[in-house]
Amino acid sequence: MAEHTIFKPPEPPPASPAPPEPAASPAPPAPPAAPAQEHHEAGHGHGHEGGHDHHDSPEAIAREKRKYLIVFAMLGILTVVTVLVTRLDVPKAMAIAIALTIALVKGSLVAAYFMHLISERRLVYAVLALTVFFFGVLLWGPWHHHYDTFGEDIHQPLAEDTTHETTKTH
Amino acid sequence: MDSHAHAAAAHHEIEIPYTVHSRPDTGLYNAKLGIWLFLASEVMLFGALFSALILIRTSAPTWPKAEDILNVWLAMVNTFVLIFSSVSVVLAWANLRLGNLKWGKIWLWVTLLCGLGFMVIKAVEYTEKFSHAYYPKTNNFFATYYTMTGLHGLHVLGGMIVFLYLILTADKWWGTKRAQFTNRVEVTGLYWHFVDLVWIFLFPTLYLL
Amino acid sequence: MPKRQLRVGTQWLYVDEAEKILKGALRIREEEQRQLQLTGHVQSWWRRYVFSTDHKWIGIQYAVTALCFLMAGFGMMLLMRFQLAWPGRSFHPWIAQFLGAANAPGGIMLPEFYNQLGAMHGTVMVFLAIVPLAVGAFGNYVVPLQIGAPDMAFPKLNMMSYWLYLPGGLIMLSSFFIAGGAANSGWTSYPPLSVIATRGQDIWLLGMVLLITSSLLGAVNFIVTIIQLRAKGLTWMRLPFFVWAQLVTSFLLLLAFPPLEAAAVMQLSDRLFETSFFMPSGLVISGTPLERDGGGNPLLWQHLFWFLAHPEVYVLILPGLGIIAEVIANNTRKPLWGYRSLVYSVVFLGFMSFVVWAHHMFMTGMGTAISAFFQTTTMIISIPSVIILSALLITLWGGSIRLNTPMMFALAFLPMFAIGGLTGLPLGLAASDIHLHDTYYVIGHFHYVVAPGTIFAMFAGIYYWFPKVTGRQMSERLGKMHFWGSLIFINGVFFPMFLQGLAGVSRRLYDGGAQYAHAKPVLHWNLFMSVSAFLLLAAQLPFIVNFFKSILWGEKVGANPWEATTLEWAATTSPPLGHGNFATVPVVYRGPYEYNFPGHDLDYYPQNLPDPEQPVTPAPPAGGGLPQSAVAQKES
Repeated sequence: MAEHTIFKPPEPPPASPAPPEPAASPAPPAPPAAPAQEHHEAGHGHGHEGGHDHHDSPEAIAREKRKYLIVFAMLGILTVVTVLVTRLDVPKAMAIAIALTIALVKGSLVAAYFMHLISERRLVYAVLALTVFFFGVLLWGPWHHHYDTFGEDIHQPLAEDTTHETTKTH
Repeated sequence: MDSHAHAAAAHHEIEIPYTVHSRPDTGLYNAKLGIWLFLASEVMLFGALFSALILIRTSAPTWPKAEDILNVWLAMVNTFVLIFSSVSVVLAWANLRLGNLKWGKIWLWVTLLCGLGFMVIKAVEYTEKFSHAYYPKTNNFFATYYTMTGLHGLHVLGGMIVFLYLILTADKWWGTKRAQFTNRVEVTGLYWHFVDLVWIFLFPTLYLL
Repeated sequence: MPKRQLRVGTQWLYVDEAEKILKGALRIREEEQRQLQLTGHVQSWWRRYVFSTDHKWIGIQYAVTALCFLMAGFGMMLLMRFQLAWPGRSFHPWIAQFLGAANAPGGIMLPEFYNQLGAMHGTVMVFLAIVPLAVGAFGNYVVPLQIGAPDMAFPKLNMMSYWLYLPGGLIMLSSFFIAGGAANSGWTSYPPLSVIATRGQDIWLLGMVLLITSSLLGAVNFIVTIIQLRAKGLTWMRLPFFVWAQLVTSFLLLLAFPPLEAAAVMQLSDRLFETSFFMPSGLVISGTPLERDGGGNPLLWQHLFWFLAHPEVYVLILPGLGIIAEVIANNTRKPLWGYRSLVYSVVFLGFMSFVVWAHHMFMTGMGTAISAFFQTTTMIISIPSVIILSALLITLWGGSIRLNTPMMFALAFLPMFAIGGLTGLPLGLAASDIHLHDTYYVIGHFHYVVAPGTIFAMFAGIYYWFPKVTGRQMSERLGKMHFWGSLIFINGVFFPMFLQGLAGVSRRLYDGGAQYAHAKPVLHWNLFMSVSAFLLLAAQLPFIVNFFKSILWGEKVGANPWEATTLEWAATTSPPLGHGNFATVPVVYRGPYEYNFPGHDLDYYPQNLPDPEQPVTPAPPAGGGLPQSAVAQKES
């Protein structure tokens, strides 16, 4: 009797060339042929399903490896820059802005290329956008409350670094 | 039905769809979506700590100069170590996708060792502080420093444990569940990049500003 | 005539005894044979029933555990209400003995113990009872069934969620037995008090870390399951509203809990490592200056706490709203009115819940700008709630209403939740909140939403899905007794709180306000409320009896006794564990509430029933056609 009591996943759409796991062990290194041909360079979304979400051809992966190394170099340089910049003679607020901007750039590189966010699906972007918004709210809320309170002497003056006016003097 | 039952029997469990292959309309497999969601929650976790730091710091009448107390150069080295470990894990994943288990494992070991290196340097930093009797209770500068780097360090440790598990079970998984194993490395890598990302923000915030 | 005896093993047994034992063994053997045939091996008892990865069994584990915690929380409330009605009166000797001399010497409750009960009642009810029941139990059991999935996306993670919840809860409760007792700084744990409080607070914080981790893992599981494992044809706008509610709830848990986890770590640090995250400078305790560096901010805790705790209250209500929607649609035999509005509203509600939290902090010296901001967002957030409630109300119009027990609870939910919601408005406006903050009015407000609100929804859910889980129906007669008793007495407990609050009676007072002149005119309500509370307890007895009686001897029913349309009713009754949920993989052809579909002979049209003659509601393009373009269109 053909009655299944085990759930069988729906048939993957015809476009998918890869057999369902797990019985077959995917043959390395040749990936399913069709997606590799359909794939174009622009790093567009993961247009094929049934196989992996990324282009598995050796050339594509070699290209990616190169990207990783370039990003690594950039991150290294930016790290050094961050440290050097804070030794410059700039007002505090400027120092914070610069340091955080560089950190943002570094973070974006890690996210975009190591985490492949640059070619990720919209759903992930949406989740992250939502999160970043709430992250901002969380950072803003307590701080703004502190600066918008009743009474004259309630809040302390902005943190005054009495020994150094700027970030670095020597 | 029997062949299917046997296929399921090999896993001793029900087949959950989209464990390995992506769902067409979302373009994601389950663990990938899962890890991004988890990382979203981690953003909020560290966000709360950053929020605490901002409030405490901007309302403090004085705040020590980080450079005079903390070892910026050691932390910079740590930054490099972590960034490099991000590269190594993504290279591990690339190799696994090429079907090269040997180099995949090697790069995973490198990642693990980088993590270990990070923790060692952190331990050096901490012991140096303790030797000067700088504890979390000394003042809020230290309280925030220890808490934020400590929580970050715990996350590094967690990642290391997972990498160790992946390395030790790699051969077994490579036999019949190659794609799923590669996915797991990818997903762990995403977590690891996030840990690196947090450090990229922690480093200037705590050590340089 | 002497009964015949059989020798079984080394024992002599009477024949009928032997029969029973052999039949039992045979049943177990059959079950094992089935498992062996389907999966190739037999799971050990531990794997099957203790460390199960089957969402249905985990749902049942959550339900049983949560209901036990609910009873514990209820018991704590009764102890408090006894004290409030008869201050200084000693308990019955048995109860006095149970409480012990540390808490109630001579049977008279100490104020310290009252504070413990207050803090733990709130904690237990919110974190150990309601959310695990609403999300862990109902969510786990029903959601995969309603979307046509074989299980959750991450069954092992699901198991871990439960096994973080149970120890977390037990650890929390164990704090009653240590020196100094349980946490006693309110469920809100405000510093500096909580930082200098007794050891129980550490256990509270540790328990919270475990519970939060459990919730986070669960949230990830739910979101991935709902997004990824929907059956073919089950587009976003065909999802049962219950699933939408659970999806939004999970997002709230995912993004709002971590700040509290961070704050709990910071408070633990303040307590154990003498840091000053929340401890201000110059603090003096009972005449002694606190030896600490200071420089911290108690308001920081309040912000981080309420950043979670406000979305948490929506976590408390949304699954309940989902259940009510299901029950109403089913028992009016018509589709929900304004399904789209319901969906947009619940999503908008979830989003807004993150930006209203400081309305719990109007009395902290907020300036006009920030106060105006939070008042505005709070007023705005009332809109989607009203839309949802209105849609449910309008659904009743022209419906063929069946007044079974789940429907009675669902109908009562509507005005009760309305009262709860409306009484929230003066609290959300700073001007009136000045008068009402920290009074019994607040207690009345939130209890109306959670008790005759969410708990009634939980009851509705239990009566409604009981046949699916057990294959038996609960008694209607006992159900109606339970309903009427609960409805009447729950109002008796909570309505007078508004009167006391308006008169200015503060909350968390051990003597119920007796020492304050302004409380005198309303003090007599304490007795009324406490008597109502005890009668409310009595009203639960028919439910408890009904529950257990029906499990054993309830009337057996088929797979779809309520003649419902959603997918969980397409599964067999009490779907077997570990083998997937559906005999054949469901495919969805229409919306979730096609009752009285024109032209169809039956008055309900299950989602998964194909009908070649009838033109089915066409499926929107893959991805769902939802403004949430987050669901990426497949790039072709």
